[in-house]
Amino acid sequence: MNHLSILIVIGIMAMMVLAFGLILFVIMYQRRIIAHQMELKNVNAQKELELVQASIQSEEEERMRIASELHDDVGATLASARLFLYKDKNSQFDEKIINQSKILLDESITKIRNISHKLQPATLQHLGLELSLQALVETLNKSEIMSATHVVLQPLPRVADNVELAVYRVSQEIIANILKHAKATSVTLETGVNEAGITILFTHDGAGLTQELYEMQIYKKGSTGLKNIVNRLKSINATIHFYVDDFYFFRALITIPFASTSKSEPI
Amino acid sequence: MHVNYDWASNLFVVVEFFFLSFYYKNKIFKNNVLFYTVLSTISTFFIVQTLRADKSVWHFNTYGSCVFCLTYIIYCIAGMYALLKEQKVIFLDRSPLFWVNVGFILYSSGSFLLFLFKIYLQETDMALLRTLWTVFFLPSNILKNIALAIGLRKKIEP
Repeated sequence: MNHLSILIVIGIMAMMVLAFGLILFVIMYQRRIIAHQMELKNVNAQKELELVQASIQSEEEERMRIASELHDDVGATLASARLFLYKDKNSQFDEKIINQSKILLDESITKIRNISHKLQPATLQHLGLELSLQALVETLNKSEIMSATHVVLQPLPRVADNVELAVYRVSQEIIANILKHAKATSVTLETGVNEAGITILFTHDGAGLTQELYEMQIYKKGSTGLKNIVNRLKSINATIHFYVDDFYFFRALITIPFASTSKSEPI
Repeated sequence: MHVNYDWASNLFVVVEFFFLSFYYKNKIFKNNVLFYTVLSTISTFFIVQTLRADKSVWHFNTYGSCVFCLTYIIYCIAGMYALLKEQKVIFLDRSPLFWVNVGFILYSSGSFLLFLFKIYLQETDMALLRTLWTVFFLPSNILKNIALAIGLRKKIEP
């Protein structure tokens, strides 16, 4: 075999090696791009979560500010006016008008107190999620719009304030939706703890949502309530699953994993 | 009885060149002028060289095929570059263009020097030519056909 033949063999081998090298380079380069894109996606998801958490937190702070303003300022002013009216028994005003004013003032004070409690659920902060949900159920029963039951399967542990607040708000939103859209006559709320985390199950006899319908609704224009549910649950890494049971009762199951229930610093 | 199929080989490589060039047309060529210039120049070179040879179309045009291989290598490199630059597909194995590039770059790099020196080797070392043909050309041709088959199975990218 002469020199040129050897060179031809070496040349062919070198070209094959180069071709394989080029293919490998393209694959490795693309892998790097994929890794970079994944990293960017994760950063974006983290940023999005932080934004959601921040917006929820600012919303809660605003609610608390309005609640304390209503309770401490407007409520106190109305209460003072009421006191004056009660005290001034022998005035020159018509007693009928004074009594009417007293009734209206009492109503206003009660309404303001209710609004204040709704905006800033004091029971949640002091007594925890389980008793707050119990109070929510009792309020529903008092309203006589529908019958509500709270079943405690396992007592709920106290968890981070933001988690309790998010779950409470989501529960409020779900019950409001059941009242408004499902036209249910009864609702049962079951709270418990299992290996997946804390679970809250809503069962009602109205026309509810299935998971498929829920996933369609959240991408539609409007549906603010459902979007709020999604955002609040996302902010605490919780999940919600809608389904129909064997007896055709609609159910919504919220699962809060233990990893997201630990107390953490607010953003 | 020896049957000469070299005319069919010549026809095959020209048709293959046209098909592949039109496949790459919208993928790597920015304007039609450049594409038709490349296509007409290279195909004219091959046809003229084939017809001018001693045995005309009855003899396989290795130099012309060598030019085709070189063109395919350039097409494939440009195709790979377009894939990386445009980033239309995240996973390369889902792109037909990637598989066509892989197939033809392996085939062309294995065949380029072999076609270039085929006549020389036929005259000086027939045994070596047979060995190289078996070790490089045939496997790279098989790899090309496998890669093309995989590429054809993939959905056409938008």
